[in-house]
Amino acid sequence: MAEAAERKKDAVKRGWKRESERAAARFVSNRAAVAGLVVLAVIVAAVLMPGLLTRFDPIEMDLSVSLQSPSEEHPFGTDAFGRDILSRVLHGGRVSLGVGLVARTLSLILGLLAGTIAGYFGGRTDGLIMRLADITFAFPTLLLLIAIMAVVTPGVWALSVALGAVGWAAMARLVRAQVLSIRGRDYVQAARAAGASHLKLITRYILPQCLSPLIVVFTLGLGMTIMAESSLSFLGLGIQPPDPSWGGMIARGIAFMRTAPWLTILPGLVLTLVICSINLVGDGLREALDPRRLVPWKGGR
Amino acid sequence: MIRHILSITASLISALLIVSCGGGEGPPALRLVLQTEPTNLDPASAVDYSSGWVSSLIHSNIVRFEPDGSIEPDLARSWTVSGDGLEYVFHITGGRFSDGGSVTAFDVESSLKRLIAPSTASPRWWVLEPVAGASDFHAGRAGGCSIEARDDSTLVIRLGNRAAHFLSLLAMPAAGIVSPDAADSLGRDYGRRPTGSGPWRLVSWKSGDEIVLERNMFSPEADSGVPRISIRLIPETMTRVAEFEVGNLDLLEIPPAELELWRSAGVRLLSKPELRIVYIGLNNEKPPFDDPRVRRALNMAIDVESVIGHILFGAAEKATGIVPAGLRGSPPPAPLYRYDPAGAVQLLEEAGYPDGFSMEIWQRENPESGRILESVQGFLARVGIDVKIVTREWSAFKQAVDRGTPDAFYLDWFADYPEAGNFLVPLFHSENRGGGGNRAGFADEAVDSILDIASGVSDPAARWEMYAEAEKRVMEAAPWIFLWFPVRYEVVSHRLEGYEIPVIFNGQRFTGVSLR
Repeated sequence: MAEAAERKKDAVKRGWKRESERAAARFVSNRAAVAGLVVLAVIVAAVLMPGLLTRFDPIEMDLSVSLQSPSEEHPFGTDAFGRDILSRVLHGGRVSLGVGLVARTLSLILGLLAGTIAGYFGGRTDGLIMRLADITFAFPTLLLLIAIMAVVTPGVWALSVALGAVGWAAMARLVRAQVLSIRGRDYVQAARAAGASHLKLITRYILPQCLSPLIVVFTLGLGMTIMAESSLSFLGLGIQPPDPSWGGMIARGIAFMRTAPWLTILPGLVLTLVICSINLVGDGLREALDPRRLVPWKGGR
Repeated sequence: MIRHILSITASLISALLIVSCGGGEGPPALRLVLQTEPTNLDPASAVDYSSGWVSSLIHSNIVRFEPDGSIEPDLARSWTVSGDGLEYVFHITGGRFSDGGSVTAFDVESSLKRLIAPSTASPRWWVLEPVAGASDFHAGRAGGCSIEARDDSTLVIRLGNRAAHFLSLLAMPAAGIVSPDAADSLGRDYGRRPTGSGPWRLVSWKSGDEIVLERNMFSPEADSGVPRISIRLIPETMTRVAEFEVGNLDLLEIPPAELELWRSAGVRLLSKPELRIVYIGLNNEKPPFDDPRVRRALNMAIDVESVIGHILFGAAEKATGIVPAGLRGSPPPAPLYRYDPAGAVQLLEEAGYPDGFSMEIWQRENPESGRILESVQGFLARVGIDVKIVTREWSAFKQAVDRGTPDAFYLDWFADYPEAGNFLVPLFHSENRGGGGNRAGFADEAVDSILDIASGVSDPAARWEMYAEAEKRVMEAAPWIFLWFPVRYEVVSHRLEGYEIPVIFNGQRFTGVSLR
């Protein structure tokens, strides 16, 4: 019996490899998704190496050059304090993307734990965890975030934890549904009959099957999380001045909307680009990894 | 489905159009705007700017401020003051409440006593504190105080001590005269449904939307040009600006960020230096700010002129003193602190902080002050001081500052009445530490005694000389980071005539304006 289970697992592995190749091919054939990926890669590279594009410090002010329109010296112009907007956008992007990734990862870990436990063990544990998820869902996300940020000291870590904590419920629901559908399958039953422990069953036979929907949800949620971070910073509850953040830059630029529109429009544009690209990539991944399209003999390719 | 949504949208839009056209009916209105909604129109409870401002349009006082800050008769057509300056006899006549009843001296007496009475618990009762017996009455130790109506038109007020500014106090919003009948029957609801004898009466108040006032037809000044005032409530700065630009407002305060734009726009731009000082109070009782060298260093570390130029776009005058130019008996002093970061670092070294320190500056929620503090933060970083800006909503901010919690706080002080003493005494007399106004906790015996003596001096020139001496001593001790006196810019529509920016916030009652 143990051998049969191993053989089955190998088959699963081989199938997975074939399927991931097909998925990659499908992703590449999706032009919008590839464009999104390219834009995202360019922005991420710029954000990681701001020194390539600007030599200005994002925080050091120089009132004598305040509110200059975009020029060769300052491609994105300067703000009321004479700080280079491009430099602030890049450094702010580091925070936005970083906070987004950390928060999403935290959601993923929490959701994975809660969802797996709920789906695998079922019964009262399941009921308890899912009711907790329902309670989290019952609050509008932004309101919940505002409430959290109002009581803690605002900062990068507080922000990441808050954003990560509110995102767990969606992940947990998804993981639970996947686990429920997989745990009754023949090969899982076979492995269980062969004496595999709970931990082994979960990590080797069940979770790998949940991977594709998780990748999609992780990516699509990343855009929303960056948006939420910007919203909080816009409201003054996120990244605190003088540290740059996209939301904060947009919020403080509004007063100059008509005298120095680049203060608002350029950070807003970058934010829009990032979120659109992430969503395009996420959509591309969803289509590429869609289990209904993973059935190889129907595609005729 | 899409068609369905479209038809819903279309009907919504037409509904909106109908609503917005509705405003065009009725007599032509003077269209004003407020950033914050009044909380309460009862003079005894109105503390914030918006409440006091609207309440002053609805209620008349014994005397009132003109736009230029001078005192003019209001309900009192005339008055006499006894030789010792303690007894005021007012001749009350001609006023009518908006419900038609005439205002008698008895109404004035009961209204003023209502302000002081312990049961009213007014945060502004101190306006009448100079009245003999007022403190005892307010504390519940006496049944009344020396405000007495002799007959329908004669009111006598006796003071405990000489108070040269007593008439100014009577012109403040808190001393507005309420209809005793309405106040008795409505109780706490009076703040929502006020009945005063001012030039305007409240017609409607839609929360978050609009307050509509109409002429009080019984008021003696009822026959001027504007029959109606609409006060829109719009918190968002750019929305107010847009509303003015499309012609929906007659008057707008220009936000500093937009000043350049409006200066070159060929509009009717008015400006007036405000009787207001903006400062960063330092907690004088808390190290390291208990050391005057540290406080002076902070004043030298910030380039105030350059902040005025680049962040406020010139809409302010650097505060080289504490009393605004309009209330001074002599020209403003030469600047004591000039921008000198090297000197500031040296002073900090002398005080024992060669590596600087970190501090918190508290502010209330306000985009304007956020921008200012960010520049202050930048300047202080250059001398090694790490500033954290803490933002709180107004009541939490005020509570913390009154208790002396923050290291420093960004705040302003505006004149309740046009008098140098209204700046120096509340802000720097050690008796007023905390909520009384001296929130920096400054205490200096010499300054205290100069201020005590000055308030009893009736000769204005001699009094000013003493105030100037106190001001000089305070400037040297540097209990604050002294910033500036703001200049207010307003733009008026082409149809509004006769408007003048008041120096005291309740000095413009829109009785002398007209619409073309």
